[in-house]
Amino acid sequence: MVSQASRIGWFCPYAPLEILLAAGAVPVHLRGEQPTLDRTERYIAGNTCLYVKHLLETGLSGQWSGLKAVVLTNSCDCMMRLRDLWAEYVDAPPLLYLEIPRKDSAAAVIYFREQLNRFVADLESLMGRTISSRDISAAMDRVNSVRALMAEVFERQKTDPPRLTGSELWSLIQQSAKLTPEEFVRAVEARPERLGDGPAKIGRPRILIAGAKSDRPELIHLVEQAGGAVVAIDDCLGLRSLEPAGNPTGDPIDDLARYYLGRIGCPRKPGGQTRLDRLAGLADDYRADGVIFSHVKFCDFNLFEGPPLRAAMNAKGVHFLDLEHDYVFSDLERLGVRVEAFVETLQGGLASEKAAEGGGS
Amino acid sequence: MRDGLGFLAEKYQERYAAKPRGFELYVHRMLQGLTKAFDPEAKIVYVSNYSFPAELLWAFDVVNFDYEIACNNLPQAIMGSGSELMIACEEQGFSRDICSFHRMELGFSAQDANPRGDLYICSSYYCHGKAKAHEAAARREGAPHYFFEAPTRRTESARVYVETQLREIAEILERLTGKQLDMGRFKECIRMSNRARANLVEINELMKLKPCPWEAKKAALLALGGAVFWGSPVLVEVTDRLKEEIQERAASGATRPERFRVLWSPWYPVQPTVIPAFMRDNQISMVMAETADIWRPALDENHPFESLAQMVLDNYMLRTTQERAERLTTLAGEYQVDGLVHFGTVACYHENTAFRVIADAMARQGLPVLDLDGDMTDERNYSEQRTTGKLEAFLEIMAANRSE
Repeated sequence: MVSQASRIGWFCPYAPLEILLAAGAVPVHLRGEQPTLDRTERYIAGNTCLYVKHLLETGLSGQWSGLKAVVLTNSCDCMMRLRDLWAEYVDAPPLLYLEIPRKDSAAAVIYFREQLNRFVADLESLMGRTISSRDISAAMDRVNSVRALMAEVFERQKTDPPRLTGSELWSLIQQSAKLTPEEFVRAVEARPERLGDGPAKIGRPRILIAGAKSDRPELIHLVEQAGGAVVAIDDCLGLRSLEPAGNPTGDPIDDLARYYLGRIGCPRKPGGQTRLDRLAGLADDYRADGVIFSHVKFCDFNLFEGPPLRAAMNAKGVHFLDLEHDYVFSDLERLGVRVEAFVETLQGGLASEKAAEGGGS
Repeated sequence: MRDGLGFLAEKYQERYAAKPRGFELYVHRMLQGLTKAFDPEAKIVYVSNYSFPAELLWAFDVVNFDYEIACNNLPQAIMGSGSELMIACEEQGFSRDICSFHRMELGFSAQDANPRGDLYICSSYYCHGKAKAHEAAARREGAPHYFFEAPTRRTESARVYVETQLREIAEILERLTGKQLDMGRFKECIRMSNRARANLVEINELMKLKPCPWEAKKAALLALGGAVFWGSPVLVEVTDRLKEEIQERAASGATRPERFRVLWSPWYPVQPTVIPAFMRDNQISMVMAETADIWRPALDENHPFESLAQMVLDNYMLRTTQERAERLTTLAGEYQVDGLVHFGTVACYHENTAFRVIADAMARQGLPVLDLDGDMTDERNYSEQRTTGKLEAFLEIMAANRSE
């Protein structure tokens, strides 16, 4: 039985779950979803990331006060400032802060190792126990088993038709972030159909969801209601976090430093061209007819990445929809109209292709 | 942009000839420098100088081009056409929610109005959007870019991380210019930097006098735009002259009447606003600006890379909001101010999230804070009535505090 007192919340998947698990903590992925942002308006001015606002609002509400701590990282400007606001105005739980470089050079790895060691020390102090290299290595195996399983799930999505519906895929991603590694593996293995052995729907436009984290299923539902098939989700919790870890070298902190800095999918990292190429590769791999680039309003990173991504996808003949939302999808009707129009365009394209194929036979 | 800069350069040359004072010299030199970026023979390095050690660039024969200063402060914004550039950027698909500084760079770039860049140094300091904008512009130009990352923790491995990057940039500059780094010249740049720093420390000390013998608005503009000159003889010449002028003014008593003293944090709008006239009419002196505070340590010319790396880590923009607030309350005490004006720009996430922490810290000192939200460059986000209303209310609060 997991003690509630050992639960540690996290938001950004750069939080090293391996170290939290090694400390005997239960990492809990937190979603900040509040009906209003009344408290937060006192602390954050209008044009600021709505995701961060919801996190602060939930922190201020006391809803997470039973947690042992929350992990915050310097994911972006707003998350860095959330750290300051949290330290100043949220009574509980306390913060565990981890600074993560954005480069992956040798010097960046050395600096990040130092930060990880500091994080370990902070956690040891919080949990009242030491964390050995062996503990971390064992935890890495546990987390890697989830990544491997999810990688298998995603691999099966490349087939035509995809093996899972978008809703099933989204649920699985959420579970991978919510459950302990053992719970997740057991849950999947106990229900093999969750890996896509069930019936699949054919003839639907294949859509790749990219962008920032989708903590809620509304977008997936909109796509499915409109007749599209979500074949892959390349967001913070999805494909981006599943890049395989390298072979262990015997120094788990060094391995973790290299692994996390080597993940290339997040727009916080320099190298926009790499991400353009990566998304183009994913569109090919998953045979996507369209890409929906979904992000929260006022997310600077994604605001800069959208136009070049659109150009790159259009150049490949892949349709692209840049969809900005308010994190809790309160403007569902408006979004629904855009998604429907997008899916209709894709359906029109597929119908034309089929007609052309028919005409030629 | 070239025509706009050329026009302003001529105008300020005349102005400087008629009034050869320190601040005019600074503007004159800066316009000369920015105009040089259109020289086809020059090697152009795009960088944000208030967050990058310009000393390293001065050690090479490159033109240090700060797009924020060129795009925003000088040619277009002052002439009131900043919004046109914003629209040019937005037509490329970039959102209006992006900071106007960065939209302006991308707007110029979309119109092919920027000078070509031979190298883009994208620094991570204060603002991630800046690095993104630089990267987008570099990609559009097909030019190389270097992401310069400054960690926020001041540890030995952080210093080594920064030093390694500075050395890498020096190697890139060697390849770009075809010249090896001349350590003698580099040391001279460090000496220049230290001399200018010492002058600015003295100037800031003089600003504590009552009435204040200079305008912190100009100190702020010099701190931001003049950062391009750290390591050059220009900043020494400008600050030598400014120091002398301010000393003379203080000695002669030729200062403006002063009823209230305010501290300013962090930015100052470059577009025309009612702010300077309101402050002058109501005898409000801006006696210090957060950006003009000298946070940088004296540098060690015998260890220039190590020393610059340490300076990078000492940049106040890397600190927590609490540390900023603490420094502001210290400055408020030292400069004996009646209040603080906080001016952010609409999409500046740091300032959008920092205001309350700063305001609460100042409130603990019994000082009022005015949050003068606006936009530094996009005229569409400026309202004269709203700004005037806020300033009037702030004035009343300061007056009420004084009468108590």
